[in-house]
Amino acid sequence: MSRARNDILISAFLVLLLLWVVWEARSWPFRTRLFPWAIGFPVLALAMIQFGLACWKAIRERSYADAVHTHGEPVEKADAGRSGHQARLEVPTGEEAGVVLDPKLERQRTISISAWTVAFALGFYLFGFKVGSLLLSPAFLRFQAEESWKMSVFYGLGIYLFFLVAFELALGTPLPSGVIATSLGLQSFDWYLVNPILNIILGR
Amino acid sequence: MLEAFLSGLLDVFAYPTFLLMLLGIAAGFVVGILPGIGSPGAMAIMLPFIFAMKPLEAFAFLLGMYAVTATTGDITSILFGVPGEVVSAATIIDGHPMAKHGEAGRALGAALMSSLVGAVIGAFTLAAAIPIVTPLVLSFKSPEFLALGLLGIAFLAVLSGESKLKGVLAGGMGLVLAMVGLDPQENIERYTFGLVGLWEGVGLVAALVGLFAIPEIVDLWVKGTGIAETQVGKLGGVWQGIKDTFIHLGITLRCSMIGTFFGLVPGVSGALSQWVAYGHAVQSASDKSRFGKGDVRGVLGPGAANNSGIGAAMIPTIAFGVPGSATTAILLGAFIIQGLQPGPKMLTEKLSLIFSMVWLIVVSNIITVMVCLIFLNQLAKITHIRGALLIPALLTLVFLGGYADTNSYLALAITLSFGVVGLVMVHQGWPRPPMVLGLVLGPLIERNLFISYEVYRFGFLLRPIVVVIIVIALAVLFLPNIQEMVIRRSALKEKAVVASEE
Repeated sequence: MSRARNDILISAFLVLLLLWVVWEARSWPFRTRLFPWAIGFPVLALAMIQFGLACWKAIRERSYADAVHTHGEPVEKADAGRSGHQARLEVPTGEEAGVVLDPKLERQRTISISAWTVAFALGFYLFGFKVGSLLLSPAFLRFQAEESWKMSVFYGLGIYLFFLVAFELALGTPLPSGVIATSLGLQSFDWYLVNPILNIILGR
Repeated sequence: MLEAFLSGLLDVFAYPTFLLMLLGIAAGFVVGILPGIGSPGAMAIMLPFIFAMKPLEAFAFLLGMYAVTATTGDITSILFGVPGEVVSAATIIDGHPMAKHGEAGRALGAALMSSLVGAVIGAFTLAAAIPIVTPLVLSFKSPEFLALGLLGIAFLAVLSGESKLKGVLAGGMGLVLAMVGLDPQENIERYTFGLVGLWEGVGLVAALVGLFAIPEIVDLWVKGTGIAETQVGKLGGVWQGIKDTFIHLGITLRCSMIGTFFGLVPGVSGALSQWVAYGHAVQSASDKSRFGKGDVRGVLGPGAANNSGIGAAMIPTIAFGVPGSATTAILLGAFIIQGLQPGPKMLTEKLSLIFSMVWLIVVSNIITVMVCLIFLNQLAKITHIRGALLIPALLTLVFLGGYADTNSYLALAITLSFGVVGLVMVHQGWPRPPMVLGLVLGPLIERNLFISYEVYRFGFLLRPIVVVIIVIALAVLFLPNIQEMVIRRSALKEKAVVASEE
């Protein structure tokens, strides 16, 4: 889908969202709706303008593409109007430097890392942060990044120890144990193994 | 004030502040040298660590990291032609050709020393600005702060993206998202869908890490890093680069002033000042023939400008609560997490903390430059780390950050949702910093709007300073369009004259 069409969808979504924002506030007391309306109405107006502009841009692009298709006019680059000085100063940033990817590969990689991101969130929800990262980090490294088993397992243990030492021991911030352990009435999956060891090491 | 200035210095060296600053610096080295995770993303990822810290410790950690990233970003710009940070891009033009000609050490020495000079100038500008801005800030009331908040969003919106309208709209959406939760006046639920987990709002850290860190992690995987395709040889000539900084001290100082000025203006970040500084270095040189081919002055200018902006950008953030960039917007979020409120209270009651920040910037930059000079060859090896190895640790920190803010699993879903929003925004060219600023400033703006209305009704809009700020905001929004129209008209006129002459 083209960027122009995506912009239409996004701005249409924003218009609907903002309509709901200002509509929802109608029954609230004045003090409660003052800010939502003071901000909501102007932003709604801006979203409508953006929607109009996105539609206009899409129509213009389409008619231009039609003209090119019909008459075979050369397509000018979007940045052709830039001055030579500006063009000279354009240097790739860290995000884009030196990497030109096949769009199909880029899409595949985006989907796979997005799926892993969701898997990590789900893993933390189910198993907590320490055990979740202990399980998911090696899984990611072995099956997605194709690192060796040895590297993956040591990395997982390293991450686990980092969070144990940095958060629970140094910062004194207990990490959640996940809904499975909580629903089973357990302290956490690792607590029964790690706590006795810590007691010995710390002389507790 | 002098007492606070000196006690601020002593506080920096106290335990565990100094140790945390060193940890922040170490994290900054990795972030700055590896492209992909930018300074705002890294700052957001590090937020979960500060929950258990005291304010000074938290800022030692965050400022230590922030101060380092701009400096270390120059290393990859020079060695590989790949900027570690966006603010290091201009260093490539002359730094990388110097490296190609076997002068990598000299270019790095120049970049590091000019960065240090710039950072010190920027930090002391912050210190010098405190007595000047304090009476001004103390004279401001709620209407002025309300207008300033909106002005800050306008600045950031206009200058941080390809489309002004998208920027302003993103800022507006940030303000709308800040409305979620219990209304502060009547305790009525607003846009919570009946979820108790949303009563306190969407969770600032969850939103920040989602918006900034998740898209960068995706980018890290998609593009893949391990930027160093070639081995770096031994880096000699570093001392010559350091000497160059003082041989061309005029350029270094003037470019530091340029960076300081740009840092003061909200929305105009180092990404722009480095180019202006480079332009100045070229313009002011009598012999311009070497620029673009490896002139050390082309390294000194951007290097000094980048780092001087760090201290200067703290002035509007601390004094008015108007951050100048995505990184300072996240830093403002850290202020709020730590229970600090920028503005009059901060300037009067937390003076020692502000001066500690000044010293933190100075000390962390000195340490950075020393570490870089001693371990330059070893630091270059960080560039061989594969991006994939960072991803599991980063993802864990991202979700932990979101969770730690509210201690609710709902934060994981919020982090993911903002991650999706961030990805879409990056893909579609919508700027994220204005949205963050809207989200951070939303509660402050609402409170100031409410107080202004209660005290002055709509008369607050006619207060002189408010009128001035509104005029500035309108100028920021529309002046570029007017200028463009004037240029177009004059170009059309010229064309018409040429056509009639022919």
